[in-house]
Amino acid sequence: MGLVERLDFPQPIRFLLNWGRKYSLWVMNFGLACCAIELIATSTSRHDFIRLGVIPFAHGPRQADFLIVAGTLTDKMAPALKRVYDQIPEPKYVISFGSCANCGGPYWDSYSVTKGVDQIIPVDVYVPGCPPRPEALLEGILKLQKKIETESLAKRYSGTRA
Amino acid sequence: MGLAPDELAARLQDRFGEAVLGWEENFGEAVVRVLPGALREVATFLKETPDLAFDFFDFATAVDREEAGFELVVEIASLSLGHRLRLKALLPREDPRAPSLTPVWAGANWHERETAEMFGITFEGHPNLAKLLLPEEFEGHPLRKDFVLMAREAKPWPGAKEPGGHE
Amino acid sequence: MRGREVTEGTIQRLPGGPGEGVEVVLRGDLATEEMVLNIGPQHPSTHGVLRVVITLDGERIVEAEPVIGYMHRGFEKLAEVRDYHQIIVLVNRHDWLSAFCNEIGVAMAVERLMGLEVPERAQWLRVLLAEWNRVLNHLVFIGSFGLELGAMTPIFYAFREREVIQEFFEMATGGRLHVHFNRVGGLKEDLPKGFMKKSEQALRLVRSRLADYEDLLLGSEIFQARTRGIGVIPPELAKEYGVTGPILQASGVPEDARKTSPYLVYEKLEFDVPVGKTGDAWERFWVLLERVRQSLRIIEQVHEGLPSGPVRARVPKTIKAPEGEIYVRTENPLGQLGYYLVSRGGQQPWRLKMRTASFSNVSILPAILKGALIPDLVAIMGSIFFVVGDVDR
Repeated sequence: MGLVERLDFPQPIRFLLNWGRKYSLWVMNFGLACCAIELIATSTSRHDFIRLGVIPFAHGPRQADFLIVAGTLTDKMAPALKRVYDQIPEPKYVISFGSCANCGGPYWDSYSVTKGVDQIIPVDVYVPGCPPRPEALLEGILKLQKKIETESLAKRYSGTRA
Repeated sequence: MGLAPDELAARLQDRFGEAVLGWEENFGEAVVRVLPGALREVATFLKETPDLAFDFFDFATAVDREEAGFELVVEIASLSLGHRLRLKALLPREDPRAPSLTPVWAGANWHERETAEMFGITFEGHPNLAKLLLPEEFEGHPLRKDFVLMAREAKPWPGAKEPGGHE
Repeated sequence: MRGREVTEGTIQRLPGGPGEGVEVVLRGDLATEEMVLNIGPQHPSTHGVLRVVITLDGERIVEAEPVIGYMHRGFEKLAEVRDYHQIIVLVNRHDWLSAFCNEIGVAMAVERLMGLEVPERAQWLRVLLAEWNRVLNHLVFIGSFGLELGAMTPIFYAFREREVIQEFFEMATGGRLHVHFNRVGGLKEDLPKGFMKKSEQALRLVRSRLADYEDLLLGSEIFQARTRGIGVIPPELAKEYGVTGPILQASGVPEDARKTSPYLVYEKLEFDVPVGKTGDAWERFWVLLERVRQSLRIIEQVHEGLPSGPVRARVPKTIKAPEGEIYVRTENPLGQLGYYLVSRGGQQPWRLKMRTASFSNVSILPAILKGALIPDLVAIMGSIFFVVGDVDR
């Protein structure tokens, strides 16, 4: 483990560190269903999440900082999601985008749908909607940035998340 | 325009006699019920005869008719002549089997694989009857009426009212 | 290479594609053995969670097997426990790029079983919104096909236009993607004030910008090199696999449910079905662009001929389809969408089979990928224009 992970830095240094991290987020696009279209819409010209420091799209999970799971996760797909998540280097974050990813949504009673991605991987921000508007994703990203802003990496890795 | 529903049915009855169990017209379309064993021959006849020329495979599926068994439904059309036909065959509930139509229309392949996993019907002569949509380890046949949705068993419909009671 | 006098190594004749019939001598280090390559289910070039397992001999595909079902959500089973209103919510979501068009078929199936007469204005409005939906859908593929072949710009252009159209879709229905606007017997409500003006503006805008796409893609030398003569589908093969929509039309078959079994008011409207000659990837893309142009033509006619009147027939509060069965097919943006509805007279269908365009269109992939080169794989798969939810349901 490096210095950053071990030491609980004083506030000014931590502020700078987190400020740098929160505006340089390479996103791994895990577009599954309808929501993926709204995710793409968020990345294109009108909504343009690059202005929030989110960089679309990482070429693979190993280059990514956070993962957006957009759409219905099925039991058949779940192992692939877990694998992609495991490949993302720490510190990593997950946004669950849309009702299906949150809890199964309109497919709550289906025999083949996983009822929420949080059964497979930890989720930081949930964006509700079916599908959520691009503005909702922007709000979700702001929420994630707020979380990163106040985070202490030392606490994150010692098991007591701030 | 192609052949009318009654003409199509008559052609099949002439050619296959007792293997054709009956027919009816459904919204301008011929629905012909045949014996499961005759399906392959009927299909080959429909495809190979020049003035029938059923060249388009639309879909194949089944309907759970409870005690009566499973009803296999095959929809085909002739785009060159402009007529279409629905073939039906009733399969027994215990060990349902039907001849595969994949050798006749290559497009039947996936439709039959899907019907096989959803209803537990065996298609004889199919090149690869592996699961198509469901994961390998999935147990049961979801579209059979006796397959229950566990989520619904565990908790009732979360809407305020019963289906149909809104608006 | 010294012709036929080869004593060691193997002679191989290339099976198909550009190098058909060329004899290659493989020996020593050049001898290739087959290798299995797995693409997907999560891969940037498959747009959606489609997995393809391909067996390669060098760069040539010996066998390709799509593995589907990663987006299988069990629609047909869920439809059996939902009533007809709730089913419309679900059918929005299988082909998520053509939500409005998906609804029409299921509403029409119930209406025909009930013997309901849908008001004239509702039928015209269904056509209007369905055609706009078709434009929305095709715009995504115009953008994504370019992206897959390495052109970044078209997708930004396409989504710019989409936002304009989605704006008035939202104005009328409240939804950008999933509209839930059809009801059994007509539409939820009439269009809001100002809709037609926006629609007319958008018509002019999209029409004027279609030329940009042609310049950017159709005319581009790189684009032509990647798509001309690639992934040719013969018409007989396409029909046998049940391929429909732009893919079938590019192969030279003028099948379009709007023409061959007219529904709504399509009989009264003038439009052409674009037909290709060779059935290669370039023509499939050309057909797609041409379909947008025809849709705009229909929209223009609806603007002029839209009658006034109610938009919804009087229907009972609880909708029960009478006992019987019906197969309704409509021309969805990606091909023929069919609903086979079996009712026992209840509030819920006994069986609702959905025959989707993408399912049949994708099922032809193993047949046309055989013998293709690996760099063409993306061009071929991209030119099949499918939505994974529409394949897996």
